[in-house]
Amino acid sequence: MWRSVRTLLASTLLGGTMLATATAAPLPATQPARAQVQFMLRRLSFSATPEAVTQVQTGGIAAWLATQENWQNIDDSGSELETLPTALVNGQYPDYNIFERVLVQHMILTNRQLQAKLELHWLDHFSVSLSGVGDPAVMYHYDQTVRADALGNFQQLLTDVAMEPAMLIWLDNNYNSGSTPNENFAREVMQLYSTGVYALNSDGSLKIGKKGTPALNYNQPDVEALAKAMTGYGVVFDPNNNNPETRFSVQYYPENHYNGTIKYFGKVQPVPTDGTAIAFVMGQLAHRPSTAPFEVTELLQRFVTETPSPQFISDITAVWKKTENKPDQIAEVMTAIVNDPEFFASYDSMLKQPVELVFDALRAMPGMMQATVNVEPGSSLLWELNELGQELFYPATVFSFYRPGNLSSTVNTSTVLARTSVLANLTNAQQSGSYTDTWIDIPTLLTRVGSDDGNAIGAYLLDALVDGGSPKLQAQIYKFLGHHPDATQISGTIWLLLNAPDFAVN
Amino acid sequence: MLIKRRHMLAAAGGLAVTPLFSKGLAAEEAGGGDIIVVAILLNGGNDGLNTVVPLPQYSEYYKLRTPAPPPPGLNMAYAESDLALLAFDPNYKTPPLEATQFAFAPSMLAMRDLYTTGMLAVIPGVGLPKAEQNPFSHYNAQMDWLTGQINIGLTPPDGWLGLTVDGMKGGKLGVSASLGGTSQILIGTQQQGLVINPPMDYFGASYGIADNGKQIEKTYQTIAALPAASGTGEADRDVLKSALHDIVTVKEVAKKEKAKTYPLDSWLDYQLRDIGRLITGGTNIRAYFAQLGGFDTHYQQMLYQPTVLSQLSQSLVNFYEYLSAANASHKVVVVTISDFGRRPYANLDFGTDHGGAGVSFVFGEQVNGGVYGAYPSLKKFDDYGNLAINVDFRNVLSDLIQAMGGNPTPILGQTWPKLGFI
Repeated sequence: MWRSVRTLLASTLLGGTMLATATAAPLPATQPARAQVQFMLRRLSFSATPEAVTQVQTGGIAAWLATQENWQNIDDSGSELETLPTALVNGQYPDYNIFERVLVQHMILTNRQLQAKLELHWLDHFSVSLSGVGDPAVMYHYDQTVRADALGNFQQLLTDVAMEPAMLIWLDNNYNSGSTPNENFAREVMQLYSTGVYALNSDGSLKIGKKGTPALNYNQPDVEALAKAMTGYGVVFDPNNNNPETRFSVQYYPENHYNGTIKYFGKVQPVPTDGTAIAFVMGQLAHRPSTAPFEVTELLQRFVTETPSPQFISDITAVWKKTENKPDQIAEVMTAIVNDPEFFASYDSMLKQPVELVFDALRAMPGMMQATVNVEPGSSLLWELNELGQELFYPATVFSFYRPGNLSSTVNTSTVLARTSVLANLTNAQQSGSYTDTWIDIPTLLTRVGSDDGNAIGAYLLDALVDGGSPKLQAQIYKFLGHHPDATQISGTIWLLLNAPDFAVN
Repeated sequence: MLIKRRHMLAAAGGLAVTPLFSKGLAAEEAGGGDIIVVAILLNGGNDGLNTVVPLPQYSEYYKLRTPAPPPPGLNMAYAESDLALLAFDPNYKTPPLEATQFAFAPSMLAMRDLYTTGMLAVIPGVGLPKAEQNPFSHYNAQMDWLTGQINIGLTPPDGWLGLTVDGMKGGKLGVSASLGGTSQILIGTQQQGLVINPPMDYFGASYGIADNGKQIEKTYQTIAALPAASGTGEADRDVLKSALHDIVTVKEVAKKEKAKTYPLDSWLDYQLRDIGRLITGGTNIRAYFAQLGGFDTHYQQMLYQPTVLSQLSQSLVNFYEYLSAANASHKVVVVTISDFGRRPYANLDFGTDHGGAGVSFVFGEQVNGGVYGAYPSLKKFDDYGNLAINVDFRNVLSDLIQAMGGNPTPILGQTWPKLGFI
């Protein structure tokens, strides 16, 4: 089955226009500048075709945002190309990669683009590796949970993630028990998933302690106490259950729960012993003083700029705190982020992550995907992401692929060369049924442009990929295409534009 | 040719020196300060206690590492009889079977062989000082080791190796290179290092583009010439330009230094093989980074750590044999660094949590073999119940910076006495 990315996006945008009247955000409601829309769609979705940009320009950014935040109302029936296996063959799933492939394809194909972008953010934030958890079904389940909570309430997200079999296995809280507990999860849930190491002011700056050094949010005894508080949970694996949704489940074993006084954050804590201890602890962490500025700073560094101003952090932190008991807290925070003048002022200020580079290319161009059947090794979408060093669900460590604010670390001499290679594969590969599962389709592009004239094609490509491009770039592209370019010239031009520094910019 | 006395002694002692090692005996002294440092990060925090076991404290060691009757294969305490085969003393000339002080983990036979050559320094009580506020965080601890600073705050400073080679004269490929991905350790004020994903034979290979020499070069030059509309884009293009500039040289080295017989049993082998090829290829790179993962052993440690320790040990031997055969080993010094050591007592998952002092190895012909610093007590721990630090990690870095011809004081922020391993 093939599916054009564009067809799915267009249907969503029509729905978006209808829902637009429901909101009254102080955003440019109609006819915002085209570059504003293109920028917004790059940051809050995986880009869009020129036709889709025009639709958002007409309907307004606020309308698009409102539609996307009400993701439950968006038809998403066409976002999965393949049917997941529900049975094991000889003790293994028929295709180990299928779970990963379906999740990656979903990010590109889904009409719920804002949710997908937040899903990517939270997967990076709550980083779990398939190589560590072993079973792809566990990871699939994990991703479904992250996705469902991506625009919801942070405390709920944190709690759900902490109770996922994948997380319990990955950070060893699985069977964490007794008087010598495993501290791995207790430490990382504070350092990486909620408060961060350092005590922060609401503007993200460090609080300085009495000794003149940065104040910390927790110390080693806190880690040990928290580990004890979260003892007693285990992951149960039923080898006879072939349903990926239910093969693994979390079980509470009261006899393994630490049975003593637990003191952390300076006081004795009445940790429940009825199996709700993890939820209890997560509830506390979600509301610790540094959690809001810590999480907000990371969101801003991913979606807006790697160096957000203290005022920006402070303003969004206030929104985070004000909405922290609301079920759509994260969605409200995202609206506030887009409403802030610093959002649009951050145009061209960040680079794309490798996955954004590929996903944006596929969605802005006529990206075509098909179920992976007989794809040659080295020619699949997953392989391309691996080449770029960002095969989702396989981060090397708990830090995922890069820390927020350190995106430039993904750019080095090796990755930029891999990039040229991967982008060449996407543009050179034509639909051949067996060669690849992902490609940019030239015949479809020509249909969209409605002309084989070099200038018309060039203008379309420049608009789709680099917001129109600078006069210098335009001149080069028009020269390269000539009057009536053939398919090779066109795919070569797309490759050039995808390699242009302006396309690397988010 | 000046033959180093300690190497002669090692050979004369009839120790386990491979034929290739003996070639190294004829190596010339490196000129003052022109050594090449290869830093290997043992990613995740290596358990020093199960890497180098203190034999006089064996009964304490056994108790700490046997918290409960372990299932088969998970017993974290090595048997004394197994350790005896890999025993060593601070004086590397003591034959292994007569040694009584320390023992490498049983999977580290190759490391024991290195030790007997007198080219391996073992620093068993090394780690972050008490002043580090967050010593158990992977990120903070790694950043300390990579930058030579403590309490780094929100923005990490430049790397100690990068700062050391800043301004040094490099060849066409500059002064630093990582085969283990981008690392803070190589970031200086003037350069951030070449990054090559092994094997370097494929550096710049573009599967979708006809790779016919001049043609691919021309294609890449076209990309590099594309204008950028923003400073962000310009920065990205500059990295690409740098990479394109390096392609030809890397390809030349890869073609010339094929290293066909290099054993490639681990990812570290791939990285060190390419480092070896770059060194013997005449690049004049002075600082290298590589890494090996698998050391964050919270769970069932014995299923993982012995394997990666074996890989580390054998990879060092392979690397040395390659360099030695090319008569290029005399300038090269390898140092292993790791986030932290691990907790002395095992958890009930038969793993160990983040701890204090660990062990570092420094290896090379310029190295004075032996043990540096006292082994931490297994009876008296630090405030957190961890192995106490006897050697500040910055002291190790200080000696290396000096050996490279750099000034450690401005890089590390203070002056350290020489440990003397180099």
